[in-house]
Amino acid sequence: MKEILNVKNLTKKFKLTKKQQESKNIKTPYFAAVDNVSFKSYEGEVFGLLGPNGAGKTTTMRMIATLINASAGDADVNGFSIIKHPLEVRRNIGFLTNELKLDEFFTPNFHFDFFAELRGIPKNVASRRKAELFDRFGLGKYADVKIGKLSQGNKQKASLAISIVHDPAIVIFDEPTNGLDVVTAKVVTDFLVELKRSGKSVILSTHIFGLLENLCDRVGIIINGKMVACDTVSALAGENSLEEMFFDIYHKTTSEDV
Amino acid sequence: MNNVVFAVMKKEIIRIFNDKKLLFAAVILPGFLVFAAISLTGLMSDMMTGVDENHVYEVHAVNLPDTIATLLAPQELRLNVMPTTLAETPRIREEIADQNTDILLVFPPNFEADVAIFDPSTATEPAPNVEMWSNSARASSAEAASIVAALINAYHHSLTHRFTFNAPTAEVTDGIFDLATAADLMALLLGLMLPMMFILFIFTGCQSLVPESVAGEKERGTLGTLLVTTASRKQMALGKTLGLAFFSLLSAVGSFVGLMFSVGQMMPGADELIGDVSILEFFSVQDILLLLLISVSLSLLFVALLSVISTYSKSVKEANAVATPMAIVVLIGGMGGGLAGGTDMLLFHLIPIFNSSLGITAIINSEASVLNITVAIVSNLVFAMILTGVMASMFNSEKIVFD
Ligand SMILES: Nc1ncnc2c1ncn2[C@@H]1O[C@H](COP(=O)(O)OP(=O)(O)OP(=O)(O)O)[C@@H](O)[C@H]1O
Ligand SMILES: [Mg+2]
Repeated sequence: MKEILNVKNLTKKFKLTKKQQESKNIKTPYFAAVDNVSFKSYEGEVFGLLGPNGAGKTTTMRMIATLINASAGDADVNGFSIIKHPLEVRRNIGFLTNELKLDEFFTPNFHFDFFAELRGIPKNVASRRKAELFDRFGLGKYADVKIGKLSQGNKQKASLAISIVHDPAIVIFDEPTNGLDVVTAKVVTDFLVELKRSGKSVILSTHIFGLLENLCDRVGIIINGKMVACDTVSALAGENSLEEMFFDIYHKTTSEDV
Repeated sequence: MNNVVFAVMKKEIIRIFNDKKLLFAAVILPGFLVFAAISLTGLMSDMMTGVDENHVYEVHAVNLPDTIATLLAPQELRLNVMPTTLAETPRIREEIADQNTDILLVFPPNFEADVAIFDPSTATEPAPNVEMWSNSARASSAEAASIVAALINAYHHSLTHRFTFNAPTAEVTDGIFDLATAADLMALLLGLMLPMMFILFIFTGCQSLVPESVAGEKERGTLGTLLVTTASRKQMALGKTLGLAFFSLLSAVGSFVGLMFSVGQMMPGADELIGDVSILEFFSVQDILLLLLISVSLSLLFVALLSVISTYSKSVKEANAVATPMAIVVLIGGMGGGLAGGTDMLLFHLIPIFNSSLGITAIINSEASVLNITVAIVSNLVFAMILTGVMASMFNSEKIVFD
């Protein structure tokens, strides 16, 4: 299998204000939100990032998507370094997170065309892809309804479609089923499976164990910015469920820290 | 144009066009406010200095030549010309200073004969000079002065500069024959306020657009969505600035139209002279063009400036909180031109905002220097470009986008 993503000792340190130091109970003015994280993901594979709140999942994904700079380490996305070739990385990546939003004033239709234009995709290619994706998500009826007027589920479907206008080799989804009902969540997860089948590399962060067990080929567990385990679901869990295994590791790791 | 720049610009324009409230605040309101504020001040000044429509102006004249006498004679000018002698002039000047009479004209003896033989190209003696004493603090004196000055100037022109009018003399070295004791406060105020209000309203027009768009985009989380694409930060910043500039230009044009319509109201006495003042009679086409270009450069500058402030701010509220003190800086800069009045120092024309105030003041006083105003416009545009570059590099900073 072809390696699509190679994360090498990625580290992110944030400078903390006095207030943040107090609230996080950290003595030093710097704090490693992501600490020496390495992992790989391959073509046709879903890689899951599991971790409690504040573990560093979003920060890791943002670094890979070149939205923020790494303090140390590097990652290759489809062969391009996030540090040396951020533009090529952005060309190869689709990134979906709850914090990145679509403009409420505009319709899915407008957004799709707009982002296709920003990414320099030829008009005919873009319109074919729009038809495909909108059809796939049943967005046709809502294509000309302003994002602000759409339901949570349709909003997420629109975001999903628009995040992959450019048919990227790797898609990074930060908690893509957050806030969705089971029906819409299923549409999203089914689509992730389709992406994987079509040979994409999918990186997914979630708190939902079921999602990992059903969807992910391999899972990395991040706690306090460190990758504490990384393997296939079956190898990690063994006899137990993934959930039991996670709490096992979680208690071990956090008690060591204290 | 580059596709990305165009797409971002187009999106900005569509968004604002669909926001009626914003459109009104940014485009319609400033022009209306310029008109209302200037008209109101003009009205107040009329009320304070207003001259009765049937007032007959008292014009004292020494050695009045026949040709000029004919010029001043028409009934509708309502000039009561009273011949007098040189010996009387000190008394009359005192009366003018005390606001008891209107103006005094002093022609040299044998004025017409002297003018007829005077040849500017060979003359060794200074040309014959005509003095006109007036008092701008007395409204009827100021009006009479402007009427007589216009007539004499026309005559002066027809004689191809064979005499001078209110040239500096040994006694009046600065060539100011205005005997106003207290400066005409209203006129001064208008001179100061007009450029200031004009500039300030362009700024407020931009202020109703930019923070909402730029800081709003950050606040709503839509900026990050743009930044994950392959489009360059520079193109995005440029597209956004241009889109916003489109509306701030509309806003500037609105302010400009407001200014043009209110001009007739702010110059007391002007309508007496030329009847119903039309804009084109008041400003030359060149003046209007320069004013328009100043407005354009200012609006681009303000958009860029407010964009930087808004990019730096976390929310629309914060951006507006920073923009408000900026408005005070703009206000002071806008007043500066009227205060500094007609300076030719090139350095001053490089200072943004202040340079525009100087330019507008100069245009109103019909002293516009194309060179100075061009320098001002270019300077404004260069600053706008630099600030757009700053905004683009701010988009690169994760601290600013994701904090
Ligand atoms: N810009 C920033 N400045 C300072 N600290 C930050 C910044 N961004 C994130 N952090 C901190 O880094 C840590 C990791 O945050 P991150 O958002 O990556 O966690 P996460 O695993 O995505 O958590 P969640 O499950 O809640 O989404 C947190 O403690 C967070 O407070
Ligand atoms: Mg997160």
